[in-house]
Amino acid sequence: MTVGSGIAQPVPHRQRLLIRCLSLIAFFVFWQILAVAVADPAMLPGPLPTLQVAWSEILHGELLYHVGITLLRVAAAFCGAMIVGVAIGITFGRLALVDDLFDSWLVIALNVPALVTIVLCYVWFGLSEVAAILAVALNKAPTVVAITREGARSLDRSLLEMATVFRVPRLRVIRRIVLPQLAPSIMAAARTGLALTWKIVLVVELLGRPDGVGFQIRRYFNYFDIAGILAYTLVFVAVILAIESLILRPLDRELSRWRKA
Amino acid sequence: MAQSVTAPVPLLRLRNVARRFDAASATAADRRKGGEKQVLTGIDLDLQPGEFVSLIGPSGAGKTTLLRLIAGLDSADRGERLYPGDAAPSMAMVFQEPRLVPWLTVLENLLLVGDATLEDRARRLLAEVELGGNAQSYPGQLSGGMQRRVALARALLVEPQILLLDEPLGSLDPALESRMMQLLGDYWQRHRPTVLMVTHDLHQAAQLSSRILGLDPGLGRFVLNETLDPAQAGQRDDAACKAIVDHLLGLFPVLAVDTPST
Repeated sequence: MTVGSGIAQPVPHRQRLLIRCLSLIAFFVFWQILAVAVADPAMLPGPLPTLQVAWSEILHGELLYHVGITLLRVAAAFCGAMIVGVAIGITFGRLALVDDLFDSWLVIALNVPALVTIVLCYVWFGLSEVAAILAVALNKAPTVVAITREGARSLDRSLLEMATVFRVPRLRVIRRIVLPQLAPSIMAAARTGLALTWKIVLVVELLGRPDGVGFQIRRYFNYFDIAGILAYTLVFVAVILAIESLILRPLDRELSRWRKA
Repeated sequence: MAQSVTAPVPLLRLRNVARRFDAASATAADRRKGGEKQVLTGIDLDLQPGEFVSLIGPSGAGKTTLLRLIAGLDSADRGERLYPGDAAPSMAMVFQEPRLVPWLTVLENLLLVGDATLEDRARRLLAEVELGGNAQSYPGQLSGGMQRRVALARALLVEPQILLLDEPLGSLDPALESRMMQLLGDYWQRHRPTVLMVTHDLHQAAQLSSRILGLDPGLGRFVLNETLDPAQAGQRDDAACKAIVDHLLGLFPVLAVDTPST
């Protein structure tokens, strides 16, 4: 999902933008070549017919409604997983006892297949909205815990000591010293998390919701309508990419502004 | 040279304080700093209001350890740390490393330990440490010596009752060091906080102090406690300082090994 992150050589902004655009065009060209090679529009329609289907679904169909529903689920599960995961991750990172006691639990949680959590949530809580969002959040939270824990472990003790001697108020320590140090980990968790979350939301919808992109994909699958599946996928990926590059990436840049100063 | 002083209630009192780091308990940082074993065996200390105490002793004598115990950053294995006054005194510390928050500007670093109402004072202090033009810089944009001066300004900003200084003027060039000593001396004469300064530099100690304590690395306790005229602290000329340094070296020859020539 992330293209060209921080470790790249310093390339002028305009040049980077151009490279990204060219890369995107190359992707569509590649898709077109593949479609021509397969030579069966029912199996693999090219990018243009897919875009046409997407456009007509936007204008006349229910695409926007389903994308909106899915986005709401992504947002709810993402926020829940981030808040709970960051809090638990900091606790793991700062309290060695908690880390020792529950590290194996985390390893188990990280390795439970997403499908198992989803099925169990549906069985235990019924085919409900709560079960769907809970299933996604439960899948996502362990990753957030693991990434945040690493950040919390490497908090700079010397700055905390300085704050202790000067009796800096606790809230100010958290806001000005702790959170900025955790920001890179939290951002990393958010960026990897967004991708993971929406993929799981689609599975959750496919298995047990009456609306959303996942539900529509199943419907098109039943009709063997590949163009429809690809149209929905394309629009949804575009939306997620927009969130990533218009919200998360600028936020990341803002948080690490001091490093470049 | 020694004078007996009838003391008011001390701000801080240490009684029979001991701290030991052995190979097993020493952290990596301890090992890097002073070998695997640093020992304080029986430290008795009264810090009186308004005195400028310099703590001298060879490397590994436990000077920084003692400062950390007083600051509450470390606990003693044995002994007591008491505040005979009404409440725990306010403290500020200049660490060996500047310990500035890299993502805050110089001014924000100062206001982190104070609050927004101190901005004018913070800017004045920055001007006094000759960094008036750097309020909006980030620490990473400053040299090591500039960062140390920010750390000094930060400590002075909060007007602490006890000011702990761990080699505050190390790694400054001689001219700047002399100006910062002057600043510190003037500040002390004006505000009279209680200062405890760890230094390798006998000349600095002689110039600034109203009392000098010597810590012996073998014994782990003070072997030198010289009281000087407080009215002269920070104002002494080179000749007066040299006389004090010679006197100290006579009492505590082990310092000669470690002491830069002055």
